[in-house]
Amino acid sequence: MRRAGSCGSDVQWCFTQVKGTTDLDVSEADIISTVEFNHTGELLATGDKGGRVVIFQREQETKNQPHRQGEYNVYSTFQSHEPEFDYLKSLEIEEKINKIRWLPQQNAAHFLLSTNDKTIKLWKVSERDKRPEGYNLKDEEGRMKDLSTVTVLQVPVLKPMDLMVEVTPRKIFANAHTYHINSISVNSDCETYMSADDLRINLWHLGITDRSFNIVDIKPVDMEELTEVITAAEFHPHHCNLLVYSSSKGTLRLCDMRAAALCDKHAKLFEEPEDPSNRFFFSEITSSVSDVKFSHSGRYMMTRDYLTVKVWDLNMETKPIEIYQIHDYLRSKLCSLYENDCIFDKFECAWNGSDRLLLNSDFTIPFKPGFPEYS
Amino acid sequence: MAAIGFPLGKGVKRKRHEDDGQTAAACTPQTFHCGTLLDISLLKLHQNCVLAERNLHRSVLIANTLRRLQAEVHWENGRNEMLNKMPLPPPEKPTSQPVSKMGEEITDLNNNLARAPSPSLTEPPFCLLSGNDSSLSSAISTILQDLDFVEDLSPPPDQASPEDDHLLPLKPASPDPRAEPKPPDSIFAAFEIADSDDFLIDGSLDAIFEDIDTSMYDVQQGFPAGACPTIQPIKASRGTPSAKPHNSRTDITELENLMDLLVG
Repeated sequence: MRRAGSCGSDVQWCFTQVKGTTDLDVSEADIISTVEFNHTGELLATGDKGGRVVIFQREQETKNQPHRQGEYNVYSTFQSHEPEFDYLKSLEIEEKINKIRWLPQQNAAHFLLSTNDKTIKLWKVSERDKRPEGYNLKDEEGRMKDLSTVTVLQVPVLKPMDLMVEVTPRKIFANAHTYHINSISVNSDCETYMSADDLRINLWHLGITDRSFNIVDIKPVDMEELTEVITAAEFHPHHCNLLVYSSSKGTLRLCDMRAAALCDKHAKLFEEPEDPSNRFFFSEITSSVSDVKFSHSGRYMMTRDYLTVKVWDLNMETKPIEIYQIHDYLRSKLCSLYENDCIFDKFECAWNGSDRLLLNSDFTIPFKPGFPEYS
Repeated sequence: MAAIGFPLGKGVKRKRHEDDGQTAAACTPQTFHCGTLLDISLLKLHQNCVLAERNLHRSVLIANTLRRLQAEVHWENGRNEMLNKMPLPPPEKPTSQPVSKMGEEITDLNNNLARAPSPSLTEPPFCLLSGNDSSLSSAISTILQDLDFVEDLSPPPDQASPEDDHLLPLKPASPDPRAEPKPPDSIFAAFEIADSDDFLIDGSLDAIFEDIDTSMYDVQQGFPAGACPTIQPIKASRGTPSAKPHNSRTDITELENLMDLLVG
């Protein structure tokens, strides 16, 4: 077990930008609930509790300062989700954005999925820097011309205009989740994606909105026997048939969709044996996995729970290959954290582009540097 | 890393209170009491279930904590009774696994056997139990029974199809004072909410709308059928104030179609 804090000498961390306000008094709606880079790192999407998505774009690197990281500027802002009220169930549906996932870019436009507790939406982000002029039947304002005034035919031409970013909703995937959606993950086939709630995982086709396939269902027949829920799920980066989902009891289940239509039976179960000398009353709560991510290579997985970051090798189910204590000093304060609900906070984790660094969110510092490389 | 003085990890829950330091100092692993923890857990569970936005994950974690507390209390009561009756060494510590109301082990992912037992709360450094355990046990039983009743807050449906597990919360369990105090399992019945579509495609539509006053749709009174918003009679029967604008037009459209069928 390697302790965090042994910083690599070649890694230097510093803030390059702060977006948003540093004012202590911020409105609830402005609180950021999720962030996600696209695959190239050029775009950064943030979702907030007010249902808005703000996309930042990195500046092009200049020849004068080729080694300086480009700054991120606001690229587009749009309202993704609105608050809803389910009359039949007498429940409010929050507009808070739970997750954003970018689709692999296939043309000039960018596509992303955003989800709140119940509905997933596919958005197209495209640029327009030219507009056609010289219509025969419409004038410059778009009104129909009087045909008697049209005496000559002309070919419309494209003329440059100020760059305009258009964000349009392309698909809305609704009414498939009874419980709160906690994860979405785009498959490597670029055609399907999955959405996971507390008890079920559904498989969608990106082009079909009126149906989805349920591939995991852990809901017991008798809800009184419910002791465990799904906390996160992700597709394998290369094998379109493999997915992993984590549970509130700290387990990971790797499922193969080729085995059966309903992947209730896992192909592999990753579970760390309990250390009798290291158990404490709140160990079950702190072992609940809040995030799981495959490495880009597909060989490893990283999980984040309340106190640790763990790295797993897909070839070894018995225990993680690395465990990093994030804030061990909180072990003696778990009672207070339970009382003030902080023990239920969820944190995320991520691999850097080369799988050399593990990143995780924390209470006080955003990144934890200095992890060994995994390639 | 530059020292910047803005709260990076700021969240609404993390505003410091004046007695935070005192609470933290008093709540060491060796000193927090079962009763306090139980009260906190039950309060959280109750608050979570009455919120419009229920969090199933959080409820499961709190319920599991309550089950462990209850199991420890029962074990401790059993041990104390044994010690009072016979001056023998205490029995081997039983498993502290969460148990269902039938005394069976609760399964992982709701199917598999539970894992190895968690550490006993009476073992150092977590000497959790203190005070009168028999009274605590009865207090827990009472609280859990009340919780079973309180947690069934979702309006009970008119019909329940046993084949379709998407339908309907479970009925509240009637408290049996002779039975073992039940763990707070019935709180999850509140999450057993039906899909909206199931209500609309159910065969017994008459039963759904039997309490709705449709006299305003009487054609003889010169009131054209389907002219009024179909949401109105439902609001009148329930006496609820007008709700926020609803973005889901599908439900309203389906309700309108059903009302057209009813009024001919």
